[in-house]
Amino acid sequence: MTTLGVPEAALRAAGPRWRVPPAPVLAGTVLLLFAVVAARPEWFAVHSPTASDLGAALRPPGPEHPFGTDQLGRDVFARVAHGAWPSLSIGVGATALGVLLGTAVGSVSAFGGRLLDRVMMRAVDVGLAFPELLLALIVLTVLGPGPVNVLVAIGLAAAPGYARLVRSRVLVVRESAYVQAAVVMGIPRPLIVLRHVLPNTLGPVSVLATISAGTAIVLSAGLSFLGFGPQPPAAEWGLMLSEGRDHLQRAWWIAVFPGAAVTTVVVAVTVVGRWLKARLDGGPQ
Amino acid sequence: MTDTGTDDDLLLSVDGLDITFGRGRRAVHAVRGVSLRLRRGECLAIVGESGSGKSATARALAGLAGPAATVAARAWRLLGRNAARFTERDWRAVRGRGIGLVLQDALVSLDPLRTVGAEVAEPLRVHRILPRDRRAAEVVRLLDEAGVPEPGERAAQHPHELSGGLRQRALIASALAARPAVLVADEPTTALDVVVQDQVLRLLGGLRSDGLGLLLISHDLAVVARIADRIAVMHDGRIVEEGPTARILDRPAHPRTRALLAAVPGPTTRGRRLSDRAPARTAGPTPAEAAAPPHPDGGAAVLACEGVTKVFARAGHPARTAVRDVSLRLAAGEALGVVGESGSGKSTLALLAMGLLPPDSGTVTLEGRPWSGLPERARRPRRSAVQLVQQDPLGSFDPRYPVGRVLDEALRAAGERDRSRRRARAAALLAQVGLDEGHLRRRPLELSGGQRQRVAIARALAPRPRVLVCDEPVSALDASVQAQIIDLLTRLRRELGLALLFISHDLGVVHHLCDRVVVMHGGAVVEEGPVERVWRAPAHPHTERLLAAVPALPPGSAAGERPGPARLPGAT
Amino acid sequence: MTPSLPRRAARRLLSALLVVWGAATISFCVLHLIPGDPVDAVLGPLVGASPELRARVRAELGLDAPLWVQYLTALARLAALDLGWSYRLDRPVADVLADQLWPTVELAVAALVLAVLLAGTAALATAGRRGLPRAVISGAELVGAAVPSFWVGVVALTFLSFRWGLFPGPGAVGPHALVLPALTLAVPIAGVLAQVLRRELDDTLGQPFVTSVRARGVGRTGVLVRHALRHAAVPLLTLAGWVFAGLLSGTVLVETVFARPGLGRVLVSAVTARDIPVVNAVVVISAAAFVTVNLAVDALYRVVDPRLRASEAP
Repeated sequence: MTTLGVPEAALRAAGPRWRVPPAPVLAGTVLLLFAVVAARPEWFAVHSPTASDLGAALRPPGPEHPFGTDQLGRDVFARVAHGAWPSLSIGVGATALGVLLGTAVGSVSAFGGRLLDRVMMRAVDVGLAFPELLLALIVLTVLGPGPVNVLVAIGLAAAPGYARLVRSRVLVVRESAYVQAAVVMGIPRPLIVLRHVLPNTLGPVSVLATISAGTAIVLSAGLSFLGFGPQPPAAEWGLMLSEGRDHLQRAWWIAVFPGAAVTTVVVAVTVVGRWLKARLDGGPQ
Repeated sequence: MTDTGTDDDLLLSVDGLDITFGRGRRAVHAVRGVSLRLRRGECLAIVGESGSGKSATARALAGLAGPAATVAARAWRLLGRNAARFTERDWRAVRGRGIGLVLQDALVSLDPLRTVGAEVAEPLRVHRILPRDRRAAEVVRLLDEAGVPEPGERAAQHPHELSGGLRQRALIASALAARPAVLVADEPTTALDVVVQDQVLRLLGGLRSDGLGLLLISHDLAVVARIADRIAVMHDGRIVEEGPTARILDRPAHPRTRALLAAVPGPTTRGRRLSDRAPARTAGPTPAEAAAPPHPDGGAAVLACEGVTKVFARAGHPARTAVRDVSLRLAAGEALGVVGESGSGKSTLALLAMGLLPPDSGTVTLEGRPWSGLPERARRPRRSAVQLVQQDPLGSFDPRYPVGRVLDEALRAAGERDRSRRRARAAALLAQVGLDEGHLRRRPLELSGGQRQRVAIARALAPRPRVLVCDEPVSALDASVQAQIIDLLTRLRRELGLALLFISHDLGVVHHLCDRVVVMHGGAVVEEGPVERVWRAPAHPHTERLLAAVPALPPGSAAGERPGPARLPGAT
Repeated sequence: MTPSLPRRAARRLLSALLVVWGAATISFCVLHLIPGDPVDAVLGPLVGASPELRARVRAELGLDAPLWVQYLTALARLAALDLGWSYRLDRPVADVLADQLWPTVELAVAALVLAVLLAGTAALATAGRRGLPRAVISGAELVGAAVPSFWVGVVALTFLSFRWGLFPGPGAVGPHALVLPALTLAVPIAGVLAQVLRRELDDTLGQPFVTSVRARGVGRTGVLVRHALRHAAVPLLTLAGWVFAGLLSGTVLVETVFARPGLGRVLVSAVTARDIPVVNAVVVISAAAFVTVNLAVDALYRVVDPRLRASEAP
């Protein structure tokens, strides 16, 4: 029964099955471009990201320096290009770490029996009681600053969310009619887990990971901005923003371009992630 | 169509109503050239399957076809005004006051977050019929009029605190609050159980005597036959037949009408196909189909439950006994029906029989050997003997698997090691359930409900079981598709000598398909016996109560030669 | 069928306390996880701390006692609301935080109000509609939700403050100086809130009961305000914890950008200087605040949705 009064035929005929809408395509292209820039910045930037030229300090954007120069006369475009790798790899790496840890904890909790489940989920509750930034700051208090430590801190901070998701998905899938059908067929338990439970759990996890990668990138830029990430003279977007902050009155471009880069990447990641999510929720349509 | 009443009596008339959803090449022409007349004190019923365009018509008549719809009509008059020219503002003034709408399930058709009283009072507020301080008293009066007991207390409650029947009455009260002249009721009783359905129908029927024009939308001919003056049958967006109720039931002219009448399983349909039946009036078993289903060989039971009890306990909640001391025996080749309302424990019984739940006491035996109380490892090699068809076919497939892989997995689990042999058998299984090889590559999501259930049955047949447990296998399907699946099960049973444990809330279906029936209520078996006997002479008051309230097609209609209960309505 | 209200309340309270206890345990672990002598950790990189001071710290923290005694002592202190002593600032931690509490609360509340107003306006104006305005607004929300708040602050300062002089620059005081920081903090939160709110409103507008309501003659505004908004409030409440977290972490960055005093900056400098007692206090306090928010939300659910009052039976 179609509750909206739209005949089922209308819903079924709602469109060709496999057409990716333009927004995710554009977003995917943008991400691809940033990935190439991160891997090979020298293809794009003629100038060195670290060579200072005090004679050419604080030049506004122009033909020689498309994004202008900073207080030390370094080319901002080159610094943005070379900053892509540290800025993006921390966020992506942290997400991978979070997914790995979270999946491990979540599966152990779901399969490991009641007591273990209770204890682990309490621990996860505690982890979820903190904003990720605060959790990351606690970890950084112990580890001290540095890009690798930022990666570890964000990954640890993100893990409780994944653990919760993995556990609840496993529980849902385990009770599903198709797992019941597999039991009826006489398929051994471990095989059911391998064939049905895990693949159907990891779908939503990968979607969440895609969307959260954006958050992780913002977070890593934020921690770098606060001075916990790469140290000067490294080129990293958060750090550049922080350095540019002191020269806002005279040179807006130093801080604006790296921030725009972060925003563009995160918007693109979000668009792709949402499209993946819509696909997962709505099936092949 | 001859207009007999005076023009004053004509509340609603529409000519050539067209409704299109979407635009351009993707547009779906849902309703084509529908013409209707509704007079004061008259009940017109529109009957059709889902997708026939009847709901879209109902909504469009209240100006609520939705933003995606384009509505057009050659002429359209509502209460003497030209409705084709109505602006949204005009509609707002007419809705509630001139034309009221009652929708299917009041649980979702009343705002769940507001009190029943606030919902009933809303038309009074919107149309400024009564000042705020006098509305409460009017709400109580309206609820009382709609047959809601203790209307004062009910008005302060929320929809979820009311039973389905009371909710539906409250919804009717809210639709009638501003005294509309026309009431459109879209499947107003579909979500209700048979007893309550009867009461609500009587309430609606009684409204006509006050001069209300009632437009009743339903998929169920038996339901509308009781109160409608005229019936219009819709199919594929058109009205294919219209006429007085008695004539439609007695002498259906259009094949779709006959199909609708025939798809109602009931007392006279045993042993004959429900779908694609020969034209009416040749009713009665055709020789080829009349072959009686195989009779139980009287030998040892393939599946038996002895005093099985299952209690569900949750921390902080009192324990609930889902199944209480149930014993039943299923002989080889026999079809045993288990009937009961939702919550009667019949689905739990299915899980116990499948060895998917351990009983708290009692035993289940399969082919004479213990089946319950074993470790799963010991049960696994014997699982091929008993297979399950679940209610929701879509949910029973791994969403990532195409049909071919679904069947392949089942065949591999059944011990078929050779890959090409598996492929051949998968195709053969599909053929057995009336699908072709082309479906192997499709995903379940792309199939229709009936096709999905066919795939589920094919999968269940893969290990060549002796017993098929079917848990409400047709309750999620449309009447005509339901008929096809029932026919399929009947045929498979005959061809393969399958024993069937058929669980359903639909006595009509069970009567059609099964040899014996077990009636469950509150977790216990209240009646058991040959299906004919239970049907004709129910012994337990509960069975009787169920049967008594079932709407039936009147005697002499094309589907029912004799009076008798037709079917329990689909309550999902 | 359901556990009685007091029992459920007691259970909630217990699990809230468990979370705070977990936070206290984490902060205890932090101190002992830092490599080297905990005394050094507590003192921070204070060059040339005198042996007397070191001895005093050792005695105060009972560092000679067995680990479990130290742990219990730490918990007992917390229970007595004793947050310890910041050696770096040479003041009680409670005083340090109390000084900085008000500016942060002021900023957070202003941002919250602003975010709710922005999100509510955007969502109500576009829910259930199609066309260009909706596309533009949802695009803006997408960018708003993705943009790093510190960058919003930097851009706002550059143009609104330095270029056009509409608002005072960093370090200013007074209500006028609150506008830019609050806006900066509100933008990412408003972006997400608006998206969720509109999705919920759209969902609600698609529900069958809305057809009933419209069939009574209620117009679009009436449906949205009298019916849909309340339905959308339920999922919005779920976001309350997230909003709180967003405000908390947002203040850390925004206060730094605008050189405002507040808890966020105290925390950043404490983490930088490894002022462990301050870090630990912030950890425990924010966990306590978070569980309080969640307890309040839990109670509010019941007010908004009567179905939850009745039963949580299976």
